[in-house]
Amino acid sequence: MGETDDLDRALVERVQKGDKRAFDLLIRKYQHKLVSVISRYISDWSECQDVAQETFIRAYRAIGNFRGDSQFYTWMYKIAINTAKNYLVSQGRRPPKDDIAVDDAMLLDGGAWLKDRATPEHELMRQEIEQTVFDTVEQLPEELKTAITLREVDGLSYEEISEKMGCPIGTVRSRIFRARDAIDQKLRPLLSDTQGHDHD
Amino acid sequence: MTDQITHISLGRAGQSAEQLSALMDGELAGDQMRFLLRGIEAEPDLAQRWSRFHLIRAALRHEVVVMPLRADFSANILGRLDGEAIAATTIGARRHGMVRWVGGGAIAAAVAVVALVVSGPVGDNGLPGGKSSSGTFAAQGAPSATVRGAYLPLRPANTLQKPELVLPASDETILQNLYAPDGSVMPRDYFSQGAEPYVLYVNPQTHRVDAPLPVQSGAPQK
Repeated sequence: MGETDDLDRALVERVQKGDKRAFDLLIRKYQHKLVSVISRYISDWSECQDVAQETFIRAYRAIGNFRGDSQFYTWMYKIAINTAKNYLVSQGRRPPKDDIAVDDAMLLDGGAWLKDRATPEHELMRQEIEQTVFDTVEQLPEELKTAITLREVDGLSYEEISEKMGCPIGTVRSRIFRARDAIDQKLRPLLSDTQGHDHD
Repeated sequence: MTDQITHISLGRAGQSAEQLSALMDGELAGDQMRFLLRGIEAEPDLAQRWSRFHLIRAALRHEVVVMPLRADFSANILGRLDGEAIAATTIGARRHGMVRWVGGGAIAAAVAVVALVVSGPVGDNGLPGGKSSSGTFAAQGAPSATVRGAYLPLRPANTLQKPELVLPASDETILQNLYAPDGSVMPRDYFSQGAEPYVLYVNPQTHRVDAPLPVQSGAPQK
């Protein structure tokens, strides 16, 4: 999506100027996606996270060379694949010969891959989180539910949502935030239960 | 109306959170983004909220399997990067110090070379133009007009095994007269005609002379 590219570019520029807060946002934005990619190469969840962290460190060191010719995520994806392969070699394991192209990786159901490998505890956690998100969306007031659905599922911009819902852009922005905030309130206890634990 | 009331009731933290929500949709102006990033530093909860908002997005879009990561996933990365930055700074400072040290040494060496080159050959008889030998007096070019007149023990450079005294750079080591080992003052002519180079060691602590010595003149007395 265009706004993702623009946002990433803006954040990368700030990182290149030495703003680590911007890099923090990039980490938090892509951490789940990258761990998911790495999990195709490394089955252990703890190792996946280690390799993902190493990926971000390498990306930070090399970010001065990132010129924006490709999407930031595509660039990160390649670093993640290389880091995962190097990790396997360092462990005396053989990395897979065939890579999954980044575009294919986006289309593939990474969920199925991880679901197969997840421990019962992880699987339970995953189901609980996803269920909480969808249940909360269902319980939202209609205007909030419509706004968040048009944004997250249909991928419309605020202006497009504004036209569809017949309200000012400021209202769209507010509704989307309130919907997210409502879901976040429900999600927070679940995640705070897990904080401090190493989900291996 | 309900939207307006809710919006008004948002506190500062709520407004930042709403901006965060707009940021992840690419709907925040550049200036606002800059202020928001500063706010994230002051309010760590905003960064965690940013993570959860993306988790919600991932779940709604079925992008990835939503699995909780370590609580300190990002903090650990940033901590390592901070550690690298500190290490790099320390190494840089050490290198800078080394450069300064080497530079100081190079300057000292250059001064010594100039002193050796400026000094002309002196014959065995102590007169210019003769064969060089291990002479008995040394020359010290002293452009300053100030005369302190202190006796300074002189030793040939080749007899020195190891410097006993090291002068701090800030010390004044202005020597105006030529002295023979017996303490007699050499004539100024020798100074201009050339002299055997000697290394001169001065310890301002042990060779401090409060009372000015009488200025002598004339040929060396052997």
